Amino acid sequence: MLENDRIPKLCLQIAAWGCAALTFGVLAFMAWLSIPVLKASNTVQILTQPWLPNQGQFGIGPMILGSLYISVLSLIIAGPVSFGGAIFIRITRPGIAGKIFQHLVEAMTAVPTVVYGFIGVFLIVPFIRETFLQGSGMCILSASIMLALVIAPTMILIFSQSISNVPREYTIAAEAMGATPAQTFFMIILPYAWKGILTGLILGFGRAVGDTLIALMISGNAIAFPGHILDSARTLTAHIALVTAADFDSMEFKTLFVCALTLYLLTCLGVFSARVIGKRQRSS
Amino acid sequence: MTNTKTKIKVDGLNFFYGAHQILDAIDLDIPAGTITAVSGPSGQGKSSLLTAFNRLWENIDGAKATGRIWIDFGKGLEEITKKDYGVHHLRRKVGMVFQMPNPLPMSILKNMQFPLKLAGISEKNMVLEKIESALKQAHLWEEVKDRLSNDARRLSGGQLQRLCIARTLVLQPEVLLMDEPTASLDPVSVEKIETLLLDLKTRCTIVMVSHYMDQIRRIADRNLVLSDGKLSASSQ
Amino acid sequence: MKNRSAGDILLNTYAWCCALILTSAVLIIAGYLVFHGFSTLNLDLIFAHTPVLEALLLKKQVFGGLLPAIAGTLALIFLSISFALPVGIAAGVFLAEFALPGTRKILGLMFDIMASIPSIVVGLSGFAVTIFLHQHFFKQLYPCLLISALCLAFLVVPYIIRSTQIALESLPSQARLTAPGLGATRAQNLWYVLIPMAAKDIVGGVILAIGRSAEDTAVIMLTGAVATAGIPGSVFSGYEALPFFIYYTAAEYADAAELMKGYGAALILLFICGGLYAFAYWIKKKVR
Repeated sequence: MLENDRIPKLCLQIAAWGCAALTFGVLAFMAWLSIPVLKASNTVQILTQPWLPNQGQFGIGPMILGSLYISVLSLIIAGPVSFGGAIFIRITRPGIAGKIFQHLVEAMTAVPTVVYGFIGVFLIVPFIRETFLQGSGMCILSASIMLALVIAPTMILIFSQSISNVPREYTIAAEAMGATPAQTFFMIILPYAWKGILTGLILGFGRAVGDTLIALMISGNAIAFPGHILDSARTLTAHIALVTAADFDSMEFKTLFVCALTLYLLTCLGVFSARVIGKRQRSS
Repeated sequence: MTNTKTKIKVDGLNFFYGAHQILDAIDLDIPAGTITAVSGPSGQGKSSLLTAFNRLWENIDGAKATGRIWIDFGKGLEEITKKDYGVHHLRRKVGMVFQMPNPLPMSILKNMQFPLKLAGISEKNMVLEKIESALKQAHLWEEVKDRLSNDARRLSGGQLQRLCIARTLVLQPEVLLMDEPTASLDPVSVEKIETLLLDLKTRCTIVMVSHYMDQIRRIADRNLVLSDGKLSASSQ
Repeated sequence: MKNRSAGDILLNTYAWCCALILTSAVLIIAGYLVFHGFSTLNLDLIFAHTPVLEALLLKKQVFGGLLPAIAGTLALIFLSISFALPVGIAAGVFLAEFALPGTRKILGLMFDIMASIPSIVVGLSGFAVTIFLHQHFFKQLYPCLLISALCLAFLVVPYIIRSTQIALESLPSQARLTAPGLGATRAQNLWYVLIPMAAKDIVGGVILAIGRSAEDTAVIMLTGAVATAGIPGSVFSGYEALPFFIYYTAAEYADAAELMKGYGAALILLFICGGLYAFAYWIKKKVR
């Protein structure tokens, strides 16, 4: 069968295009299943209304806000720390400590998210509750802290890679001219690497938005619009996990497909942005 | 021979890459206002020797140099290998030109401004003055004066190397370290740069790694042969 | 003259602070988990009161132990990788060896998206497909091990595609020319020479895929994982899984003993994923 290339090549093509088709199929399927909901009330309403199924309101507005608040806050926490971590590995380079830290960060990528969630429930939630003496501790802040721990390792590795991709010729030229490490970093490395760093941030954000378990276990899952970081909130992802128990043919359930569609589109947005930025880097 | 001051003095320089020793107890006196060539078989540490004079070896992974080096910057011999000696200040007074031209990914103007920025010189007129002067010394001004905002990487090989030389000249260094400065260039550019170096000799002390014996004969005052980690002066 | 400017000191202080913050966070979490979970690590955690041999030989059911969950997770890994591996390698080979530049761009984009889809969306799609099939074709079909495995396969295929593609693309060009020079077709070259050469690098992606199948909770929550099901009897039944057990315990534990089992399960899952990571690291080191 391997004597000519036609059959094997066909199998390979089927595999590749099949996967691509499935990927698109998920989008199409979610969109198709969302149609009844989008027909019943208009899209803007769905995206901004509150979730009050008993009153016939199936808006996913609170969940969109919940996802955004938690993801943005986790990015605010993880971004600077990851940036510093990458600088620690590549610029400060304190010998063995740097190596250990790098291995630690790489190992962190292997930790299951559900374990972070579990520990978050029993360690972070009580801590937040007792520190702020408000609410149950299951809130945006707690979820963002754990989520930051989930996305930080990947971001550190991406930032670190961007820094080391700066050609040595440029940095040694600067060093030979008397640039201090800080000057080399700010005047040569950052201008060259900022696009890789931005890509890392986008990927981190995408990861945060797509996460289910942390938000499900720690953010409280309240259905009201969140107003404050100590408020309980519900994300699009947790919402899907929670409402799946409802009757499949109900309007309630069908709005889950709108959630899924929103998540899918946000994902695509992230992938496209990262690619566009990447292209500009390569052409410069 | 006229009584020229010692510009650079080296005492007991050892150079290591990891565990491998490539320079062995080098002692050296380099007079001011001369061009000293360093030649010898490949891979024997000629480039490494240069990095000892501006302590650039400290930025190279795995490299280590021991021993003492003094340089006279007008106030007598200063020991530059002392731990608390300002290494960044040193590198502004000791310029280095690499074997392969390494322009920064910026315009010609920004490339020339860079060392001035590092040194904290930002007054516009002074900056432009120094840049023009350096480019003129490097015999590059006429060719680039109308396209200073073009990307530096678009210049030809010979122009690039002259740009890199001009870039080191903008802070008026007293010592110039050159690592095979004409290795990647065409004969016309080689001639231009050799003329440049003879011109610079009056203002700088030049230490130059070179493989080309005829070049050394043409422009060097002295030739040091580096072999098996040891230096020997050849007749010149 | 100072060799450390103010900028250097600030930058290094910032870097050290960030490294210390992250390291202490990790150590606190690891320490907390080990501290609480270590005491539960014994055979009872896994087998409860059932004799070990009889439980393993499936003679007796285990109630209150983690064996069913561990078995479920292992079954998931095995099934999902069985589906994902051939498809992923095939697609990766296609991308690296046969695809035209235009095709490569489109497929590359699709696979990037595939790799980034939130797992809950995959789970919901799987669930919706199951219900759809249940309502219209197969009345006996419910969320089960098979559905979960298929959805997990979808989730992890991109890892295998990516590492296959990269592995093949980084083979030295001379290796590609040897067999064709002796008359081999492209397919033969691939099957007998190139893929075996690239195997070690592909393994990295496979291990990543295994790790993901072991730990993903969002997909299995919606496609068949339940709190109590015993050791899975068939691929069409519900099943238990470690990550689901951990989630379930956090949400619904009734007493301290159950909570302790949750810690134990978290430790076991951590060991499994950590072990896989260490294995991948070891293989990468051997390759260099």
